[in-house]
Amino acid sequence: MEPVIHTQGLTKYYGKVLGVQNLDLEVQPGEIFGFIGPNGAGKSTTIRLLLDLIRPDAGTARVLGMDVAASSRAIRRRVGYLPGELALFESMTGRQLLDFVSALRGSKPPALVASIVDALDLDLDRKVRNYSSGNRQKLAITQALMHRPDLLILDEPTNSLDPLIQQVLHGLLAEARDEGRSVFLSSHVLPEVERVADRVGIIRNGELVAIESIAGLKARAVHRLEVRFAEPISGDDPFAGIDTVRAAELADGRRIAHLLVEGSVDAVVKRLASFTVESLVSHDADLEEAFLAYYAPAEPVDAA
Amino acid sequence: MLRSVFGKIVWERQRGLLWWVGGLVALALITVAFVPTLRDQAGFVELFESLPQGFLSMFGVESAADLVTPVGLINSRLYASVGSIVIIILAISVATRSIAGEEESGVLDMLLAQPVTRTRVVLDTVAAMIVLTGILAVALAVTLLMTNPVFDLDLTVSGIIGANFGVLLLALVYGTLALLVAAATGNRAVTLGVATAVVIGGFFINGLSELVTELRGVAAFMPFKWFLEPNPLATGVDWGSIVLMAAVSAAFTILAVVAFNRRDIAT
Repeated sequence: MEPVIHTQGLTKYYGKVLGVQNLDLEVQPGEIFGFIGPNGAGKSTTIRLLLDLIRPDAGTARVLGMDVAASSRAIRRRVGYLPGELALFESMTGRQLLDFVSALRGSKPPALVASIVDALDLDLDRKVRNYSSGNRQKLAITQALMHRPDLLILDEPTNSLDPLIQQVLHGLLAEARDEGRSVFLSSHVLPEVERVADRVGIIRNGELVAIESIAGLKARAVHRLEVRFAEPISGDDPFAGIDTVRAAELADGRRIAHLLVEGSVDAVVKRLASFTVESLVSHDADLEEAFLAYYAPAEPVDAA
Repeated sequence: MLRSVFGKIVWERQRGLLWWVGGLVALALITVAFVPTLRDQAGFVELFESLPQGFLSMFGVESAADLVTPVGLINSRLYASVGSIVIIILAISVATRSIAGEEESGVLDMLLAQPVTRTRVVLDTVAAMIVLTGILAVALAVTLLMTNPVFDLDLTVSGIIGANFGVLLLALVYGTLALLVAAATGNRAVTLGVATAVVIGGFFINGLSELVTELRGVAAFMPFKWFLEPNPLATGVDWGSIVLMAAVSAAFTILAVVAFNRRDIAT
């Protein structure tokens, strides 16, 4: 099946400032794809290229099987977009805004609106300029979702949403996926994406650093172990030769070991079996750390 | 009304437009109310004869004697100065706000993420500009038609139609120029600056060209000149200048479409 988003060598500079470089991205139908990176890494640039708001310096982008440069209008008919900066039509009421957006799409506000508005608990009769930032976000989400687009492009969707509403949104996104539609979701915080996404792409300084499934990312997650021994360890580094150990350090007169373990801790636990261990503390595998591992400059930690 | 980009622009302007119409009608009423007082005042003519010709021509007056005829006075007060400028300002502000203003606020992203082409946005803006400035021109025409018998203005219907049709196209020339700058730059300040400079420049060059012969060649390119010569309120619709102003507006619009389609939308 043809990917819903397919970019090849997509490159964009703003004058001399790099936006994105050589971006090769594939998002499959029926998946929720998380696009993660710090602010300024190129997430919004990528999204705006996909929507033909800006034009690439090199490379091509295809969305829903159509070329962005040639068929942008046909593409946008089937795409719902939540902008990162919540600039909305300030002088309209929420209802007027939804009506207007629907009219531009050649339809009436679909019946779906009522259920989304209900779920998000949004008041449509006030002017947009009087909305709180949370309500602005809800309104923007509603206009993006209401036409059941084949592809949803959301730029930092949960920026100012309370956790309860975030959960509702994630439910709506999962529903879209279950109907075979696709979601492209950008964020600068991983936990937000980790809960809903199937795969993530990690972007850094305008370049795609990695694409992984959430499961794969978890497998690479870094565990922090703290081991307390009954008596001081003598001799050589007890963890030598275990390639999952990225760093090891002995403290408290060689009674305590602090370990950084990537992926499975099995080999470490088996090695520990030959010592008398008083306690073993493992901090939860944190995707944030796996994620940051991509960003850490290749510093010479005492990893092998 | 919120069914299209065109409808949205008109909708956003409807309340403000009441004030524009009110102000313009008030200006017209004040002007025509002076006509009976000034009519055939020899002293007034003498006063103005002492002024330099360039000063008079800047206000659309061929000779001081024109000032005391209703046609001359109304033309100079409404069409050769403030009245036209008010309508031009509305046209420029529509162009500035709908593209450069919405781009600077970021809301253009949301509009252009819908299945709407950039060409459509430019053309709808021009359509809204025509309707909004047209309402002002019609209000001005109706005011003159209604006060004509009351104050014995001796205006002809064809003159009133000619002047107001002309002023509508004059406003369109400057409005579409502003649209071109907005479409090319997306910058509100630049748009307003360029458009204002061109309007003020054209206004003064046209006026001063009577005094400074070197300016006459340049003045031939000034829309104010096309519109005001001959006095449209006296001669009626001047199809030559109407077609010229329409052609220039169309050219600016086409260039605006091209410029807007080519560039990146700023964040």
